[in-house]
Amino acid sequence: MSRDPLDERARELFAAARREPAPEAARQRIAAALRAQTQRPTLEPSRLLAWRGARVWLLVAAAAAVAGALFSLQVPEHSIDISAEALAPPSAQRQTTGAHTAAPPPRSAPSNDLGPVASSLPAKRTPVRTPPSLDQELATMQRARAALGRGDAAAALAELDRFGRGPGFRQLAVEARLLRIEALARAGRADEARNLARRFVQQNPNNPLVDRARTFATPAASSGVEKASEENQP
Amino acid sequence: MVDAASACNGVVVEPLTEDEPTSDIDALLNAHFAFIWRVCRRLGFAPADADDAAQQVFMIASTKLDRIMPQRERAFLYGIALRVRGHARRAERRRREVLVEDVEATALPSGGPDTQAALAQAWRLLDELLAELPDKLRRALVLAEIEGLEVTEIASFENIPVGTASSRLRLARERFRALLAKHPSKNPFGGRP
Repeated sequence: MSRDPLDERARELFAAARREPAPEAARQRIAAALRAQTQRPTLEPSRLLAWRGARVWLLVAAAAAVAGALFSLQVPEHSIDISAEALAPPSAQRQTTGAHTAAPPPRSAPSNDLGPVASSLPAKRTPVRTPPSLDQELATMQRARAALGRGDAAAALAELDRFGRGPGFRQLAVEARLLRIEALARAGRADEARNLARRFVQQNPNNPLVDRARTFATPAASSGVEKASEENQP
Repeated sequence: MVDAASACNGVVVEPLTEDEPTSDIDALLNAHFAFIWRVCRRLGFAPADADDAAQQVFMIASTKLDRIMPQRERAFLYGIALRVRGHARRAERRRREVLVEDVEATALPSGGPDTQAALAQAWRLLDELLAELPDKLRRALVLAEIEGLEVTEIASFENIPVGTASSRLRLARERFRALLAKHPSKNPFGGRP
């Protein structure tokens, strides 16, 4: 590998960069955050039992609230809210404040040691639904592409809707949106494809896939279908 | 300066192989923390932000251990680092790269005051010059000149052909040298060729 045209002064600058020490304190903080993340989902058996007991009481309270509402001719709005909240899945309940829920406190997690980055990571929040894994996203994309390849745009759209109203695609979100545009166009839903393509171009102007999206953003989207479908082949 | 979106989108999913995936996040952290931290620094994060960015990288990696193949750990972590950086850049909308006080907040290596001052000045100048380069060239230069990667490795990390990596590196060196020549008085290692 040729080293030119860098000279000695430049090399010394880069050598200085190699001497900048990565802070050991930061490494230790990250190690602690990783340990906390690993330990967070698990519950000790005693706490698990307490949590299950709390869930039973929550269900009883919810049932009582619903029954009371049914027997009462005047249904106050707040009782509906409370019932709905109590009947929500445990993950959603954990997101509410503890004023009227009996959820046990989380296991001692050193959250104060995690710093601002860890506090903003999704792992610290309890999701309402588990997001799909990368494997799931990849598999879904492959099935959708295969469906589109055999001309079954409806099946492709069904695959892309697999995650429903949940968190949806995350790591392949951009690719999934582009595939949805193509599937919509092939399904004859040109207006929807065009609108989605325009939003794609607006929101991802620097994305490498934007040129392909542009082919669907014009009224002559049918020509874009042909071009994009050729490019989409493995 | 930096094209955060292209940096983010340059990351690709590692192909699956028949090898067993990496399973120990602690080992990854110990082996690659310094690399990731340096990359974050030279790609524009101030020292404190580089700490946070490195933490994000390893927190994300800990959720993807089944995707990290042996011998590909650094490339995988590098890809995550680019994504983290892309998100940070979009969030902060291209603020100034590195402030003087940020550099001075870095823990200095042992050495006399002159050495430490020279190093701090060198880091500051380096950050200024790297910020002048297009992002693709900057990344190639950082990987080659600071991390010591060969062209083939840079191509692998960036998921580009070897010829492209070689071309980027050559261009990056040319431009860096030209930029350095514009600021002879700032170079603590001598201003004249």
